[in-house]
Parts: sequence; C-alpha cells; structure tokens
Amino acid sequence: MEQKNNNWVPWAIGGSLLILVIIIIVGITVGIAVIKSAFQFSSTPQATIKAPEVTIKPVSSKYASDSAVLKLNEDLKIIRQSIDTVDLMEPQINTPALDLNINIKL
Amino acid sequence: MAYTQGLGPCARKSVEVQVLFPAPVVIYYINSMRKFLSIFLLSAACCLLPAPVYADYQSAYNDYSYNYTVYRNTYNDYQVSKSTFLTYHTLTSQNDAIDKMRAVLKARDQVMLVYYNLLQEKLNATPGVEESVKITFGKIKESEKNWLTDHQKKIEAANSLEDLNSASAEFENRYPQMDTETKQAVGEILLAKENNLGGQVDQFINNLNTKLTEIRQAGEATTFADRGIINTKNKLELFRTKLTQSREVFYSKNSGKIELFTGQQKLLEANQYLREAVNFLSEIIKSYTG
Repeated sequence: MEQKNNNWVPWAIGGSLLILVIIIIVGITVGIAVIKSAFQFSSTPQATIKAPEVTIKPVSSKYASDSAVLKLNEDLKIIRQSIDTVDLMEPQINTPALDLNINIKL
Repeated sequence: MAYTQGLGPCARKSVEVQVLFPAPVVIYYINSMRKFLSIFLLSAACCLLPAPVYADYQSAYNDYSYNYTVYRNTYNDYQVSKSTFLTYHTLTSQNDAIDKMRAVLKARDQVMLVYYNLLQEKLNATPGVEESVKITFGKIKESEKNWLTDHQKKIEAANSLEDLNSASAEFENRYPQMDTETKQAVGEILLAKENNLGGQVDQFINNLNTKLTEIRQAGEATTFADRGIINTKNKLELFRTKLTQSREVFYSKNSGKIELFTGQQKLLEANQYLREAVNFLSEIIKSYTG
C-alpha cells in the first residue's frame, strides 16, 4: 500500500519540470516578440525615401571674370611656385671641405 | 677674246673664266665670298679677344668643381707619400713627400681662389642682392686673391718640409677669416632670395589693395578680404622676424664660427610663414573668382 502511494512522486516532479520548461519557452518567445516590436525589427525590407538632392551652386562674383582679378590670380600662382621651389640650402655654394691639418712632422 | 688684248697672261686667263660664266653668277660668287670672309674674320677676331674670366655662374661652378677634384686627388697622393716617408725615411721618399705636399697646398689655395670667384658670380646672378654687398665682397675677394696668390708663390719656393709646414700653418691661421667671409656671402645670397620673395608678396598685396579699394568704391563689402589681408600681414611680420634671426646667425661673431645650417633652418621657417601668407591671399582671390 505504501509502495503504491510513493509511485506518483517522480511523475509529479517530471510534470512540474515540463510545465516550467514550457513556461520558459513561451516567455522567451513572447519576450523576443515584444523586443522586435519595440525596435521594429522587420525581416521585410521597407521602402526608403531618398532625400532630395540639393546642389548648391557657387554664387559667382561679378569679379570672377574681371581682368584685374584674373591677373592677380595668375601673379599669385607664380609667386606661390617661386616660394615652393626656392632652394635655401644651395649645396653647390656651401663651403668646401678642406683639410686644415696638412703637415709632415718627424 | 677681245677682252684679253693688252693684259698679262694671268689676267687674260681670269677674263677667260669670266667669259665662261655669266656676269651675274660671278658677281654673286664674289659677294658671297666677301660675306663669308667678313664673317670668318669677325669670328676669328672674337676668338682672339680676351674672354671674360667668368662669363657666368655655371662656368665659375665648373671651374670650382674641377679644382676641388684636383685638390682631393692631390690630397690622396700626399697622404700616400707622407705615409711612405714616415715609414722608410729615405731621401727619395722625402723628396716625393715634399713634391706631393707642395702640390696639395697649392691646390688647397686654388680651391679657395675659385670659391671666391664662384660666390662673386652667385652674388651677381642672384636677384635681390644689394649692389653694396656685391662691391664689398668684390673687395674682400681681391684682397684674399692677393693673399692666396702670394701664398702659392711662397709654397712654390719652399724646398723643405719645415718651410712647407710653415706655409700650411699660415693658411690654417688665415682660414677662419676666409670661412667667415665666405659664409656671410652664402648667407647674403640666401637672404636675398627669401627677401626677394617677401618683396613680391608685398607688391602683390599693394596690387590687391588697389583692386579692393575699387571694389569698395563700387559699394561692395570687402570684409572677408580685409580680414584676410590682416592675417597675411601678421604672417609677413613673423616672416620678417625669422629673416632677422637668420641674418643674426649669418653675422654672429660670438662663437667664432658661423653656423650656416642654423641660418638656413631659420630661412626655411621664414619660407613657411611666407607660404601661409600666400594661402590667405589665395583665399581672398578665390572668394572673387569662385
């Protein structure tokens, strides 16, 4: 009689574990669904709206074609080139390396 | 044959030749020959005229380069002879050492002689070098040239190692003075180059200011350009400070020896400020040209 009464215990433990697992799975599924909806994760691509392309045209000065301004521009290019290419080391005119200890002493 | 009557046999022959060729051809031939002869004589006269010692910087440099190579070669020969003499002490090796030492001392003087010429030509060829600097250096060059020529004669006359040692010491005592003079000349050349560029930028600012005044008078705002010019002038101020510092290095007499490289570094810094000044000017121009 006593043996008969003890047989239901493992079944009860197993059943309750099964229910717990089912609850966890359901919980995870619901959780993922909630997170997805919150961050709007969607597997289907949504149509994107392109921003309109805005091209900014430079405001052309009325002096853009002024001969004096163009001349200044050309002059400046020449000056810049001279500054960039000036040789300030001039190795050709550096002092010659001479020996200052030429003597024969016994 | 009518033309040959009354003439000698040679003349007769030439007239016969004239008869063989038409008159215009002969005249053309004679004129051409005259032209050719005059050109030939003129060229010959040009060749006979005394050529200037240094036509330009390049020939002065070639001369310097050649003499420096001669010096290096004679120095190597001198070292070999010196070593041989100090090892064997024979009369032959002594005579050889004297010859080689004489040669190297003369070559060393010659290098300095042509180096002075080189610097003079460079001063003449560099735009922006003041006339007074060229004249002063010319006088220094003449003085050193006289000293070096006399010294070479002294070396030529020396027949013993003692006399050659003494002549060598004379050069070595004189060298610090020559070193200072030549380094200052190099400094003047480099300063003139950079100063000349600064002058070009100044001139450009003047021209730009003229145009900006015109724009202002037309009722347009020039605020951006005005601000740019102030920035440019600030950079030019720094540029001039560096130039002054560089000049101080080239003319420093405290240490006894001029540090050429330090002066060059200051000039490079000055050049950097000049570039920055030009960048500001470029922005101003861009604001008008777009």
